[in-house]
Amino acid sequence: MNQALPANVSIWVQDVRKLFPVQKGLFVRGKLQHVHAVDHLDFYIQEGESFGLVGESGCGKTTTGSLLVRLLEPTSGHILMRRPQVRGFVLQQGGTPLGAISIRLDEEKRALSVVAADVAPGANPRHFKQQADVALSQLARKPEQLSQVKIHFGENGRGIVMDHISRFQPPSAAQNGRGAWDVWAQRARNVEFMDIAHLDGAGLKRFRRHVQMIFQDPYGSLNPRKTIYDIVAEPLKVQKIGTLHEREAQVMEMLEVVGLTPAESFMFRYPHELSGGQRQRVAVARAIIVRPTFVVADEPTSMLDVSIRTGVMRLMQNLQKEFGISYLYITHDLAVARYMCERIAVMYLGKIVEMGPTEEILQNPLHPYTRALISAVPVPDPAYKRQPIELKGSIPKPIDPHPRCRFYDRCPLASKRCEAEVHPALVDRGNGHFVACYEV
Amino acid sequence: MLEVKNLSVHYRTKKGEVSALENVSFSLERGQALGLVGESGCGKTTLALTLMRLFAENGYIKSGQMLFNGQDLVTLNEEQMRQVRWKGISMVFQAAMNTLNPVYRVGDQIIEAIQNHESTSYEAARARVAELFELVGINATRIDSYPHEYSGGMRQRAVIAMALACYPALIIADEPTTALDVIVQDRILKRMDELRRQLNMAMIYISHDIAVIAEVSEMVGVMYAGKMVEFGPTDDIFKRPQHPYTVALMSSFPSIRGEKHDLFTIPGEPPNLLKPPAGCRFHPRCPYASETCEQSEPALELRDERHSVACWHPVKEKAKVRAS
Repeated sequence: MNQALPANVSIWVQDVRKLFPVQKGLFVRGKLQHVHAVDHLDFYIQEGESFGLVGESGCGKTTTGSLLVRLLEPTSGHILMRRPQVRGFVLQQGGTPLGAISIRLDEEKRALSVVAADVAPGANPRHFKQQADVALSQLARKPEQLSQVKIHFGENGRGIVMDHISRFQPPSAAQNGRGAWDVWAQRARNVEFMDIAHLDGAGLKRFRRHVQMIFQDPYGSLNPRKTIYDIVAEPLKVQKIGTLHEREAQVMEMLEVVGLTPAESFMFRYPHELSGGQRQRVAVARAIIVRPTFVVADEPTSMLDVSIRTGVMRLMQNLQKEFGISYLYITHDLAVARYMCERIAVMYLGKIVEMGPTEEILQNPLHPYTRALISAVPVPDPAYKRQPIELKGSIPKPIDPHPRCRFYDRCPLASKRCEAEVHPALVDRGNGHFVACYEV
Repeated sequence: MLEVKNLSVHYRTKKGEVSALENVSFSLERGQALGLVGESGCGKTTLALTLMRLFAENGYIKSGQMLFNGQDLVTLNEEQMRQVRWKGISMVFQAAMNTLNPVYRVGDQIIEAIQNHESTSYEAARARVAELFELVGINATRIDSYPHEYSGGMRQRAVIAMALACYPALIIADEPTTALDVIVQDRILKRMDELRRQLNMAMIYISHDIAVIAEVSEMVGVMYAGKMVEFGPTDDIFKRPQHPYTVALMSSFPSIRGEKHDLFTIPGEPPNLLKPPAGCRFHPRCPYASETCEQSEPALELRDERHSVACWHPVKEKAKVRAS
């Protein structure tokens, strides 16, 4: 997919697939079949953005969420994640790259340190160093601006961010000149994110500090035998953050933040003493306490009553602003997505069929599946007359599906071309509105 | 056809009496669709189960009448009630698609239900099931399939076919589509609406989803903490809600259509029905609450022709309900 990448990407999913083998009977022979739960996903989530995944049950949205927090390991593909507090950029002069530096902001010491620096081939090293010093001293005066630094370069305006204590491999001499830009961009990109797709052991545990999950069922997701304090402090214990005293203070603070006040009265109660809305607030507190950069929220308000739901939705939005969290917001409810998400992706049978700014998708859907889906959502206004679009049949199982468009069998627009060609790629129709369809 | 008068239902629990329904009154005409809306614990499901006289062991009718075609269901014994169920009133339960017995063929389960209530031959009952399947939109060739061979939406339709089996005068559907995806939900609701008109049955839809209620019902009852707080024609309730709770419920509900206004949050939590608040049960969360509201309970009173409200300070100004 040809997506222009914005500067402040937090999670970048590249060509991710997840196949589950189909269990057959003991004596059945033949080729092993697979359920294609998630197939060639490509999307990114920006820092502080709420990105929605919508679709019907079985479309792969929950699998995607589990992959992103690495409860599941992808079969193939990359999940790139930016570590916080590290920014890298390419210094340039008059359109030519001088080199690249990446710096880390130490929040406690309020200091900047250079993580990696490299001079561009053909550039003057001394000149590069001078420019780097100037840039650093400017930043050092206002380190809080670090998070806002966006330096664009390259032909498609990609911001370069590095995240790794490794040095660039400079492009070879043959690649100097015109092509060097792309090579540099590629190199820089390779080190700017950390690929979490196949992490394990200590690396996976470290990564988990930066991602958390909020589940749908606040009755099932909280251990009934633990106090609220134990539940909320658990991630701190696992990550060995703070002393006992500090943890206690942090839990108190977090409970206040999520609106469970006075915190002392909640600390030593058990989940069964709380209402559904209060429990979901506990689940939110537990997710936020390690200050994650990224939270996967899987239908977090679906089990809550309307009057309680709005409160939890607002809480999640406020926390997002306060802590700069990115959300992957999984929901079947398009009306909730409208309020919670800046952009949404509509999934069907493991594929993203349409993606873009929420309001744009809801008011101007292009893909025939999205249109049918939106037309089926009831509207709380008896005077409003919907014009539902009928779809043939029901959702098939994605077991070794035909390579052509996944929606072909049910699509009202299906053509010869759709029958003959492979599943269409997501194409930008302007304003970041992507559609995977040959016929619209 | 159905008239419920001052119905109160309590549950006895270890901690005391829970007043699940208190003085609920409403009526329903033949062929009419009534939507009951409210949050969990407001008494919607208790009301449905009471109409079918299917209680949990600790529940009992404290007072009131339920007149169904002139007969008071409260006074019937179990055998008489058995005659009313299925033929008079039948019910589609919440997550009903999981109520089919997995080891029997779907068709046989419906045939059994028919033969239990009518003296029909197997062949005649089977022919009726084929007819019912067509009605709800399942291919009649699927009669001999087992439940696991059906999709969720088909199972739900099979359960609706079962509820229709004896052509009842009233069907109570308790969250009939809550577990289903929107496209399937839309199909089933549309089908149920067609069937209601075709067979001139009355329906009571129970849902927490006011969007579903807005689309399928002609009359709406809004319930809060075991009380009916507002009752009237759907258009009226949605255009001119008068109870502060109804107004709040509607402005807290997101929609994909219309202007994207700020969602309202109702402060606090629904009350514990072991100790319901004195006076109006909504007063602790109500922005208009006064001293009167704390002390005495407002009765459900007709405000205009068909629209009744139980509130001391009904909202008069045109409430902010989103326009499409």
